Amino acid sequence: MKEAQDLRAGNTVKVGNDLFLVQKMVYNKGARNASMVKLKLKNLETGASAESVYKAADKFNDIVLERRPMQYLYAANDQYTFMDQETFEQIDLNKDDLGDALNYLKEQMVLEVVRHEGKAVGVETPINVELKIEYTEPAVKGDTSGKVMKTAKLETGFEIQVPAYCVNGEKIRIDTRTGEFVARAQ
Amino acid sequence: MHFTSVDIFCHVIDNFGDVGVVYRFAKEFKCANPLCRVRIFVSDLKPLASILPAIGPAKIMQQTGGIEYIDSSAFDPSKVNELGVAEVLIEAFGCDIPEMVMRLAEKQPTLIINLEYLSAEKWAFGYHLKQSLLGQPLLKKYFFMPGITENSGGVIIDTEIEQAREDLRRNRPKHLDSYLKICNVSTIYDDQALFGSVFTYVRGFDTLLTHLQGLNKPVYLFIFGDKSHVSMLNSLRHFGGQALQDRYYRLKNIHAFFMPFLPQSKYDRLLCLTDFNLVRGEDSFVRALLSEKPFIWNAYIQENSYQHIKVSAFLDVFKTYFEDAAVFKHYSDLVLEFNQAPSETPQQTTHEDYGRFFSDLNKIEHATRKMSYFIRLNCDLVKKFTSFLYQI
Repeated sequence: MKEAQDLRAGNTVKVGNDLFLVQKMVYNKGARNASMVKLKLKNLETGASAESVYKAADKFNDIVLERRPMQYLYAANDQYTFMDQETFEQIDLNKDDLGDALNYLKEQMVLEVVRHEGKAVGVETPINVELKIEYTEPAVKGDTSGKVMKTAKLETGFEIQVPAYCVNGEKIRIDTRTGEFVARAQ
Repeated sequence: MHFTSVDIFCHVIDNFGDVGVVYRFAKEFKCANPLCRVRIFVSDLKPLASILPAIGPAKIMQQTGGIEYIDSSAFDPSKVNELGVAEVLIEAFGCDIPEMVMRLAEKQPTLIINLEYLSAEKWAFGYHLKQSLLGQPLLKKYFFMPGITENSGGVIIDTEIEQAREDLRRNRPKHLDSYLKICNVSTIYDDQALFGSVFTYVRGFDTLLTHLQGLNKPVYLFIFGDKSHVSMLNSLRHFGGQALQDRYYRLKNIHAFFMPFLPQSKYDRLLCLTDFNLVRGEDSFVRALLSEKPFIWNAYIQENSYQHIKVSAFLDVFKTYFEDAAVFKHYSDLVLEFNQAPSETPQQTTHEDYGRFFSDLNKIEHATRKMSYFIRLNCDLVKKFTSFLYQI
């Protein structure tokens, strides 16, 4: 069993009798620690996607489908091509299939491609990824506490909040479940 | 859908807010839907008995005002079958509905609504009336997000107060005196006097008292709840305030009344009679807003100081009702500073500047009145809730 707040793009869950692939997950902290989660779920039988909301502690039956590490090669016309590093087999996934993983996707990155009945249906990103800051405003002098945050655009184009001490070109570690800054990369 | 019964589940975490909101919701929902059976399953009846004296805290099941109250902590779960399950189940603030009830609910078409905490944060709109897929053919579940903007679930508007408002305005001296009498004080009503209520978490009041001492008029403060009592007493003693009676302290021009816990309806009325209110938590915040009087909100103190985000989100909405940006800026700075106080410390640790608050009272009141008017017109929670049930 997994709690809604622990799900991330690429996970598969069973709701009732249906299998769903998590495409997107947004976590929101609510009042008095009652947090909520918004999921974009793709029904693996019908292919239909729907948004659904949950309490952060709601429990899910997580199903582990077949997955294989594949390297992201390139994107063309909204199709994202991945290659199996052992068999050199190439597969295409579209934007929706990738969901949140798109925020962290860069060429040569190796991800787990999730398969259902032999067909690639999505990807699962590692919990932590390391990406370079492409642009962020310089810090205001004196902010060294790490509590003051600012927006940073990553090399994938995704924007996150980082501590004020982070600088352009720096590599940082991000938690892909929450899209939050974890630490400077070693 | 057609509905004839609603069961509300409430788990009391602390204080009076959770059950206070649930009671108020049930009362207004019953008022709007008199033929619908409304039951409240609550984990602790004691706080409810404080705000609704008709409740006997030791009774497992009771009925008052057309609403059935069931103490879920003392109730025998095996009797759930006898009670049956309503067509609409409301889990207040995301509390878990007991498993026995859920098992019964799965066997009949049931709508579950997660009635959440009030939030002015923008992300909350993204959850309002959104479905939570359960994978159960007969169960449907949605989130309902109260808020202070049109696209939210709104706030609970108390019909009794709405009806009493005009009388409270016209007969203000008589009504105010009735509150003073609770403390055995009969005061000659002074037109120039300033009346305020204080119901906050534990915090320092030195800066407030310093400022009020500088006003050239009598100030009457009604202080509610143990947390405010402890805090105010500490500050009064710090300045050499004297106890004149059990519940009555005096510090120069300041008359402080340590009020007993009043029923919700009586407290709500006082908020409409005073010149300013210091309120805490969610329910009193809404009552203060709808009272049309200037107020300072002491938000519930949360982990990682999350209350600051909530207060800022409220101020972002409130800002649009101010005509003078400078007035709002001073007000906003005061409210933000007020909420910097750490939890459970009666010492003054913050640096509020109340000067502009009291000199701008009329302008702040004007903004509050405008927002209150908008809310009454567009953000009636019970109306929105009922209409959602009919639509679904």
